[in-house]
Amino acid sequence: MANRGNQAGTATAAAGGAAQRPNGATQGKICQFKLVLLGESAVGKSSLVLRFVKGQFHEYQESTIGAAFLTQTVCLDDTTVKFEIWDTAGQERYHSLAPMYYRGAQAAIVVYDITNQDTFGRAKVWVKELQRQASPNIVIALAGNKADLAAKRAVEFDEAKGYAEENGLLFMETSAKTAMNVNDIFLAIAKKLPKNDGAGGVGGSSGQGRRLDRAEDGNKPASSCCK
Amino acid sequence: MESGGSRSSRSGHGPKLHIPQSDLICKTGCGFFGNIAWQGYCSKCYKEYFLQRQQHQAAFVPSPVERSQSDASTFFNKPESHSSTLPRHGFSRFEEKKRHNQEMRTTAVKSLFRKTPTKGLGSPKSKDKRALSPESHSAIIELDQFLQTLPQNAAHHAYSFLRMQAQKLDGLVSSGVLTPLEISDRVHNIYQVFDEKLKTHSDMTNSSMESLLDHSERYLTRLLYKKLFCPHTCDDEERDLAVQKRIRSLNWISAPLLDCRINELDSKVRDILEKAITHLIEMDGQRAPQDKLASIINCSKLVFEMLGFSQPVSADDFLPALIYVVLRANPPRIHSNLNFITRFAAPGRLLQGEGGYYFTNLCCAVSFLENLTSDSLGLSSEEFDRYMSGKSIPFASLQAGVMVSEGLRLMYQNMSTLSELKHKQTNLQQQILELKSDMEIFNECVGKEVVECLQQFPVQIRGKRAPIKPDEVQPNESDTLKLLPPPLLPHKISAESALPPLVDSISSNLEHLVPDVAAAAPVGRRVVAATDNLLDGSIQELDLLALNELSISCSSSGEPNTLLLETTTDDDPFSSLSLTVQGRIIPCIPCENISPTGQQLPPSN
Repeated sequence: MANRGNQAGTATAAAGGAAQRPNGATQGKICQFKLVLLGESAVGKSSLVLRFVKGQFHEYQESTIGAAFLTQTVCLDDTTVKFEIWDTAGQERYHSLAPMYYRGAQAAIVVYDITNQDTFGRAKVWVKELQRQASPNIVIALAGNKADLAAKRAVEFDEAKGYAEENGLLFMETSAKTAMNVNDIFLAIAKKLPKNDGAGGVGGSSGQGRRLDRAEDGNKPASSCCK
Repeated sequence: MESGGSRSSRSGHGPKLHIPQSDLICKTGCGFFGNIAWQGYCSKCYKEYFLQRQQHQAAFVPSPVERSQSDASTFFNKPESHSSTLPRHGFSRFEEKKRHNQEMRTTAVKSLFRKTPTKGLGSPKSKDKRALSPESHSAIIELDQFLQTLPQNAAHHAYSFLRMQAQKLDGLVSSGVLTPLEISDRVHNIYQVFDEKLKTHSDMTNSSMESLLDHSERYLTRLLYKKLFCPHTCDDEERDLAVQKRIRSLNWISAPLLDCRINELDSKVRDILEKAITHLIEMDGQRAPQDKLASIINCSKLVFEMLGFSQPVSADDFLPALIYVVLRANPPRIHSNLNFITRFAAPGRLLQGEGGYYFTNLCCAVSFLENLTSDSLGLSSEEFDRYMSGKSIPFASLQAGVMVSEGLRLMYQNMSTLSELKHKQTNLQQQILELKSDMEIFNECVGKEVVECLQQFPVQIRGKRAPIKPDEVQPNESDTLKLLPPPLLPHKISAESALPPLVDSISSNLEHLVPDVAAAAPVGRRVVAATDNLLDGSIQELDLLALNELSISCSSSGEPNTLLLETTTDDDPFSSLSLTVQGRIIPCIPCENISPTGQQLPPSN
């Protein structure tokens, strides 16, 4: 729960307490993971990501026009984990479109606002849906955002913690404003992700999704013809 | 056919802008207007005529080359310049044209692959060249060019593999037995096998392998685009039309209904919106999946730009805006395009990366519009039905200029501009008033302060003084004048007269040395001549010249003067002596500018 106040702009800084390595070093494995952000609108999904990726909160920079799709690399022991973060629209009316986003995602962060009980309820719905419909080994993290507003807290820490433990989720209360636990939650996800069968091996050849596995079946007639 | 010939003779030679009224009526006289492209028939009559003629000419099958000629020229040449012996397929029914194209393409592609790779793929001497569309042709050239940058062995391998696969795929697709999903699987299979094959080439770098895969994807899809895109075996085309119709019927939806913060009345925003729409529509014109994705990415970037004036744009804002852009663009064949990308883009392209994300968003947008209900807009079902049937239009949409004609939209825009101007004007007026009152207050304040100051320090007005001319001023007239030293005057020295202190001491010495001479010193301005009593006379003289002369004369004087002379001639006689007389020299500075009170007067000329 260390309050990491650094402006984690670079990958190495984001790696935090984990074994660090210069950013350019590639002798380790490179794993690329798709991470979706789910949660009611205005719980601070994009603030959380902007804090993680750019070290920003609120301060608007010209380069940060789009906060919907961002990537960030963290180093973990000898592995470089590249997160590809897909933000989703949180409005209720777009809820039904969510499966398109989390299809093929290896990780998901479900965000709620600790000052709003409704967002926690929605988060539970998301979690249930992910467990039912997303890929079976998806890593799900629950993030109670706006922890800096603990005075207005509506969702108790223990309640959320208990729920997370029941459902096997990673759980942290975060604050995009103070940067509390922001890097930690991403690092925790990176640690929990399987590194050997992740998309993208050494050399970063484009990830081969499940699409290929299906193509494998129709392999025989094609291979007989070529050459 | 004769009718075609008679038509061209009637309408004259070459392109004409003016067409006689009689030519516009369908030749069968059914009362409808005809069209030159339909040989002067109306669409319905032409269809009948065409079918009839087809039956007549069942035996005659033109060669692919001839067909391609007719196909190409119908679009670019005036029909009149054509010989009427060639059937005109250009504007015939879509299905028909598609079938013809396909036959043509099959022959073309097959004949292409009969060539040896060493000849160069894009050699213009091929007689089949005309049968290839410019797109397919450039696809081949592009691959050829790229392969030349690779090691020869790998390039040869890659080429023969791709050639083989394209040929095989072409045959399979043309046979029409495969479902779209099967075709897609085969294409993906090719990608995978190709990837594996490439890995056996150790002389390939990772990046060149990546780009070769990229090129192979581009090559295959561009070459076989006509067959892979929207194949007959699926209902893509119908769904395209359905989506298009659906979007058209939803054209009353305004941005606020979608939770979308696009302000369309802002001309800057509308410019970007139009650019985004252009990119989205352009997607249909691209052939390779990655080019289509690039169009989507460009469109999405513009959407961000459109929204991101004040803060970073999250998906909460982005998706509604994209939906709105799709709604406004009503992109052609959107369903087929999305399907094409899904089926034939290289694996990993769609589940990852920027392209994948924006593609997913576009799919979501289209799917949202397809499945839109009254709930998703927060409307009651009666309201929704009313809007859908076109019975009424939401006021907000009317205001935002969504559903109105260009003129009305312009009017709304002008009205908003005017109101903005009016607002500015009011502001300006208010500010003018504020400034005015500020100035008044300032004026008052200054006046008050001045009065206060005057009270604190009352002004004593002195009488005007007459300009003082120092030369005319009598010494006794003003007290201050007494502060000034008296003007220099040649002194008459008498024995009793008091000398200035320093001169005094010198003179006392001198007196001590030569008492008798000093006592009887005559006074004269020019002492030089008086060499006999030189010491005495020169001391009286305060003129520097005189003093100098004094020292000279002293040096030339006799023994008894040595003591004094040493003190004065050690240095420059001026330096020592001028010091002694300085007090007397300073007052000699012309003092016209100095008033009697000692204050400086401004230059008075």
